[in-house]
Parts: sequence; C-alpha cells; structure tokens
Amino acid sequence: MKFAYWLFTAFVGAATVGLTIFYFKGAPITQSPPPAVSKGIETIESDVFGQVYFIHDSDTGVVKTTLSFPSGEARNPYSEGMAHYVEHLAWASAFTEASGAKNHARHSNASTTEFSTNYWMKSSSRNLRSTVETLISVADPLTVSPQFAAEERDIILREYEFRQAEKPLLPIVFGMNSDLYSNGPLSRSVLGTPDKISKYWFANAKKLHQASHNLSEATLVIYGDVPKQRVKSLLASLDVPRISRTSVKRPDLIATDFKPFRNSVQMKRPGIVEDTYLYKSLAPLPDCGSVARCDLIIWLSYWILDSPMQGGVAGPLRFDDFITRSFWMDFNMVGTSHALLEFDAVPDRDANLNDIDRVFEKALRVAFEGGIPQQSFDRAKQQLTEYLGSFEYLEDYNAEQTALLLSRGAEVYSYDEEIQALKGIQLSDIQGFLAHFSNTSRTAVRKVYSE
Amino acid sequence: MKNFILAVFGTLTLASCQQEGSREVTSEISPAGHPFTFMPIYEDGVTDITIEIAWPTTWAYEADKNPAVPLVASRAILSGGTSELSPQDVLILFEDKNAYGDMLAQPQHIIGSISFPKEHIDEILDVVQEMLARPQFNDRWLEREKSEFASRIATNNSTTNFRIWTAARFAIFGDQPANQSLSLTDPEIIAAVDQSDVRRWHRDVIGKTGVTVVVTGAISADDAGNAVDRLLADLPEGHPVELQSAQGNYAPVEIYLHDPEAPQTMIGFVGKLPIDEEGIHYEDHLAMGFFSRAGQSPLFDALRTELRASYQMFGGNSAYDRNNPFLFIGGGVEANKLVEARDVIKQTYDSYRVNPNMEGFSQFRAGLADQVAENVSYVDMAARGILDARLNLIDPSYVPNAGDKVTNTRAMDVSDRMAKSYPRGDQLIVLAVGPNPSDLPGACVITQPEQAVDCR
Repeated sequence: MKFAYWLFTAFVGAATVGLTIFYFKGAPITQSPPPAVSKGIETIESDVFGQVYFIHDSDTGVVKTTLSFPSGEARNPYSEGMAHYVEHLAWASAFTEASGAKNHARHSNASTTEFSTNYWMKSSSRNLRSTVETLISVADPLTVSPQFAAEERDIILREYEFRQAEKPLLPIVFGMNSDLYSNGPLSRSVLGTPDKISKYWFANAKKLHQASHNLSEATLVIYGDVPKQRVKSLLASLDVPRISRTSVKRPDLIATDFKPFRNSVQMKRPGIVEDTYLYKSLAPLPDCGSVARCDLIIWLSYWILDSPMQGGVAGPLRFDDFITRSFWMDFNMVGTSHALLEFDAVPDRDANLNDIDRVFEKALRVAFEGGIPQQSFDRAKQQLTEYLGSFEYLEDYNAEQTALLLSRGAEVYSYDEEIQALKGIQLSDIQGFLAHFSNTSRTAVRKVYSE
Repeated sequence: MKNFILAVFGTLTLASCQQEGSREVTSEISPAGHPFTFMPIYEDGVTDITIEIAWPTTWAYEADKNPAVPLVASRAILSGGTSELSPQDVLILFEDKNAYGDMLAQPQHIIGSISFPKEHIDEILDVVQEMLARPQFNDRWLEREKSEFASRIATNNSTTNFRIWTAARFAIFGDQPANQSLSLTDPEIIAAVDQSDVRRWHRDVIGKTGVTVVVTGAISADDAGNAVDRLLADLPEGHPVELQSAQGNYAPVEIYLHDPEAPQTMIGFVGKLPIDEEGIHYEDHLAMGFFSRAGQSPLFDALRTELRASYQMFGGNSAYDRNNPFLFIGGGVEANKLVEARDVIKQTYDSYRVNPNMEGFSQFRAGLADQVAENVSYVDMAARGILDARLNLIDPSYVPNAGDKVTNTRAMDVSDRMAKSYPRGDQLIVLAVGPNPSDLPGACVITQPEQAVDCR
C-alpha cells in the first residue's frame, strides 16, 4: 500500500486526497483461514495448440484467454529486442485482420519476456470464439504495412524512453548479466536499445514471427465463467490446420559447462545519484524436485535471508550496525535450471560500499554454512503458510500463476501443489539448497560510485 | 521473492455469514470521550482490525517551519523502536503478528494507520501507544530517515517524469510555504532537520485535540472505544487547528523546461477542477479515467493510433490539498511532434469535454465499480475510505457500498459535469520537458522546475 501510494505521489506530486479507494489495493489483512482447496488447473486435449489449460471460475463473469508462445527474446537470433517488436506487429496485425478497422481491444494486452511471448484478452463467454480466433490470428503472417512497421519502431523508442531511459544503473545490470550468462541468450535486453530499435528490419521481424509464432508449440489458457464442455467444443470446431505433434529439442539457454567465479568491479557512472552496491549470484539448481518445490525452497530461503530474523541479512546490515540505509533483495528461479540471488544496497551515512560488501558477504556466508536456526525457519514457514493461506480467490490465483509460469518458461503448477510443496519442506532442504548454491555460483558485484 | 502474484488477499463478504450490524458505519464516543467513526465487520474469515488516526496540521503552510520535518519525523516514529524494544524487535514483532503500520505526512493531515489480527490487539497497541507518545528519535535513525528522503529527492529530481510535475506546482503555487512541502527539491532542507525540530513537531502535532479516528474490522464498538483511548491516552491535549489551504493560480501558461541531457521529451497538462460540498466527485474519476484508459480511449487513439507520437499517455484527477483538486494529462512524446501533440491533446480533450463519445462507458464503469467494491471490502481500505470521507466533511455511510455509487453515476452525469465545470483546452497549463526548447516555440523557457514561478 505504501508503495502504491508513493508511485502515485511521485507521478503527479500530489496527495490522493479523498480518492484513496480508487487507487489502493488492500494489504494483507486477514489472518489465515485453513487453506482452501482450489478447483485446480485442468488440461484439455487439443490438436491445434501445444497444450490447453482450463480454469473454471463461475464468479468472475468474464473469460480471460491467454495465448503463450515459448519463444521470447532469448530465442531471438536477430537484433536485440526484436521479439518484443514482433509482438507489437503481430498484435496490430491480428486486430486489423480481426475487425478490418482500428479495434485496439482495450481489454487485451501482450508481453514479451526472455522466455515467451504472450497475448491475452478478456471477453464474455458469448464472445469466446471470436476471442480465440483473434488470438490465433497473431500466428498468421504479419499484415501491417511497411510504413506502420517503421512507425512502430518509433513507438518502441518511446516505450524505451518511458521504461528504461532514465534508469542509469540498468546498463550496469545488463553488464552483470552478460558476465553471469557468458554473453548468452539470457543476457539479452528484452526491450533492446535505441540504436538497435531504430534499425529493426521489417523483413527480419517477419522471419522471426514465422519462426516463433507456431500454434503447435503454444499454450492456450482459458480462465473464467465458461463450461469446460463448451471450451472443448469450441476447440474442436476451430477452422485452423491441425498439427502433427513433433518434439522440438531447443538448445539450453545457459551453457551446461557452468564454471563458478566471482568478479567485483568498482566504477563511476554519470547520472548515478548515490553510491550503490549491486550484487547478482547465479547457480544451477540442485535436484530439488518439482518446479513447485524448487520455487518454494527458494521463496523460503528468500523469506529468511531478506528478514531481520537470525540468519537474515537485515540484522547485520541495518540493525546491529548502520551499514545500509536501505537494501533490496530478490531470489528466483531462472527458467527451470538455475536460481538467481540479487541484492542492491546504498550505504548509511558513515558506511561505504566496501563495508556493505564485507558485512553482506559475511552474513550470506553464515546463512549458506548452516547458520539459519530452526527458529527462524519455523517462523518463516509459518509466515509464508499464513500468507498463502490468506488467498481466497484461488481460481484467479491459479490463472495468474499459470500465465506467470508460462512467462518464466516454467512448468505450470497449481495453488494446491504449492501448498503441498510448502508443507514438505524442512530446514535441511533450505540448508542443502543454500550450500549447493554457494558452492556452484557465479557472482558479479559492482560498486558504483556517484560522480 | 518469488516472482509470482502478490494480490488476491481477501476479506470476501459472504452475505450468508454476515452478522447484523456488519459494515454499518456509525459515529461513536470512546469511554474517555474521543469521537470516532466505526465500521465493524463480523464475517467469517475476517479477523483483522484497522485503526486510522488523522492529526490536523498547518505545519506545511507556515513559512518559518522546515517542511521536511513532518516527512522525516513521521517515518522516524515508526522506525525508531521503543524504550524497551529495539527497531529490529518491533519489526520482528509486527511480522510475527501479521501486523502493519504506516504514517503518512500530507499537507493538511498526518495519517497514522495500524492493522493487526484481533488476538494480538494488546501487544500491538502497547507498542504503538509507546511509539506515538514517546518516540525514540534516536539520532542515527533520524539521520537514516533524512538520508532516505534526500536520496529520494535526488533520484526524483533526476527524472523527467518528476520534474515536469514539480514545474507545474511551482507555476501554480509559486513560493508559498505549502509548495515547499509538496515540492521538496532541495536536499539542504532535509539536511537541516534536527532533533529539536522533530521533537517540536511531535509536541505540536501529535496530540488529542482535533483528531479524526476510524476503527474498522473484527471488533465491537466497546472494544474499539477502548483501543482508541489506549492509543491517545498518553498524548498531550494539543490545541485546536484551523486548516489552511494553498492558493493556486491555474491560469493558462505554456512552459518548456529545458534540460540538454533529458533522454526524452514529455508533455503535461494541468487544469483546476471545481470544488463543492460533495468533496469527492466520482464523475471526475470516471471522466478522466474514461478519457485516458489504456488501449482504447480518446487520448490513446489520438496520440498513439493517429498521430503515432507516443507509447502511452496518462490522465486522471488528484488534489494538492482539499481545496486544490485538479486534472492532469501527460506522457512522453516524439520531440519533433511536440507542437502537434499539444494541439491534438487540447483538441481531443475539448471535443471530449463538450461532446464525449461514451460508447463503452458502461463497461469501463463496471470495471471501476468492481475495483472500488473490492477495495472497500478490505478492512484497511474501508477504514481509509471512511477517513477520507470524514476529512472531506461528507457522510461516510456510503463507503461500504462505494462500488454502487460508481455504478449509479450515469454517463450523463459525467458529461454534464465536464461541460459545465471543466476548464477548456485553452485554459489548461501546458508544460513540456526536453532537450530542445525550439520544439515548443513561444513557450516560457526555464532550466529548473522552480523557475516556473517566473513564467507568471
């Protein structure tokens, strides 16, 4: 809630006086009821799409349909960011084709990640057929004019300005990614850079579109107020070529000869308003079971490391002494094979970046070498259990989670599987994971000084 | 953290499980005589309580006061711990109890908020009572909070998006003290805050007199009254406060903030919205929301689809303080289409203002109504909605059904209000930021946002 407020005040610099309920989403405010059981995520056989997931929810009144192609920027052999450009052109083509006019479908949107390109629309169940047909048409050959395609480069330049141009740390972060991923596909920028965006070739965009927008590889997700049988009938009657399924083996996005290293670089950059410590550490996952279980082990690890509890870094950095004024941490799976720990911090008034480096590394070492006490683990697991237990709209949760897992290039799992995975995790799982992580990781550190 | 979804928290209203009196807004008096607004929620699964307290203040409007003090001090109250619990212990306690606290410095009020499960009421109130009455204001924590604000200002000042709206405020409020609070651009002002300032502010502002209090959630009126008394018990009596307001000059002017290093060109518009007794106008939110909604709106169609000059434009309504509601429109545009963009936005706005095409309005309104209805279903959001109503001097009884209020706002209500009360396109303040002033010929050119006052 605080965060949402600040975002708004930062934009127009005004108080949201008297308008709160228009802007805020509620904070976690219930104590956990017993975890509910969701209706889950069902699969539907299809000879059009690679796979189809169905999540029934009679309470929403709408249907949200998502089409996800497992090709994002990391599978783009052309200029950096072109997968995103293709997404813009495919969406525009689909709507021009679908309506014959300027129908921009305000209840629709699209996104590109390193792992996938995703399109979604909201509609009534009555309009589900036309919605699915419109989504399918993003796989048809691009029909926008060359002039439109050229103008769309300018639109993406504006998008770059909007999202990235005023983030001076971002080029440094991309540099760290290049180190960690050995300049591989995952070090590519999804949005691209102005010099590359302005030179995108429409011809290459068409080639990339043809190679990446293949329905036989795509996942269709239908969530909402529509009977399953109706969805099955609709899918069976679609007027599109049926597929002969072939398994495509794609090259690994992270090279298998993964050698650990640690590099640390000091630098000065214009536009940096204060000294900043940047840390990223990447390691292959140990055998931690299903994607759900790996995710939960990493999430619990994060919950402890980020906290003021014993075994976390907040105590040494913020409370035992005044080392960091503020810090941010994240810990996530990368695809299904690796995990990435990220940490940024700015020093307190009487501390510097070397102090952060020393204290943070020491705190991590303690945690990695078995220093997380049972009490902290129990507390974190309890908090996370309560947090997950506070969700009530489980079908909605499953739908959002499915879309996000697809955007991450991960296998889909449900809320129920998540709860089950959490129940089975013990402190020894966290300790084993963190020990493996620290022994096999590549770490990039940047001490960035303001000018 | 796991890069999954964070939302979908819920205190879903289950009508069949709802007891009598649930979600009825009433005015109550605590045993010690403090008035408060109360909305119990007696429903299965709802176990939390929220208490909101608004302290009136004129600090931001007084020229001899450092405007950074409320911002720093209100944060330091929360972060400094108590005489018995270290800041770390307080944080762990709140995390363990699933409790949440916030303290927000607005120009006319300091708004404190706590939410917690009902079984932890004693532990949480003990700590918060101590924090409010006897804040630690440890020097090192104060320095930390000051540095945090100074950093935020430095970061904000480096962005085009922030600077354009800062320039707008200087064009509207000039050098009035209130604007020093709204537009803190000078880190030195924050550096000057010291221990005596924050203690003086605490003594002057955080008292019993004039507070507006709201309690919502899983609690009875009697227990709510006792909780209010506990929180206020150790505070000084305080003194009556007559709220002040800034005097805004919304006369049209065209300003170009020249920044040779600006990585983008941005345009912004600000116009005064009417004030009346109703305080909040849902028509305003619907009007500007419908005008600027992403993907398909008059603004999107004009700037992205037709002119092909922008990725995304924003529009909405807000208020600098309760007497200064305004509308805004803004976004990044292609530099060499800046003049066209300005003209197109004005024309599009004017055309919408007097003759809007409301096709799709009911769908948009339904989405907003759902969002509002969901928001006010939460214990803490309902409390803030009621507090907002109280501070706007309007009856808060509609808040539990605020979604219906949106639903009942007709397209005709929206178009009538725009036609009668909205400024014309040529009455809007126009601002632009970018690297080349010749992109907007005839504008008053400045090089710092504060210089916008010189364009008057």
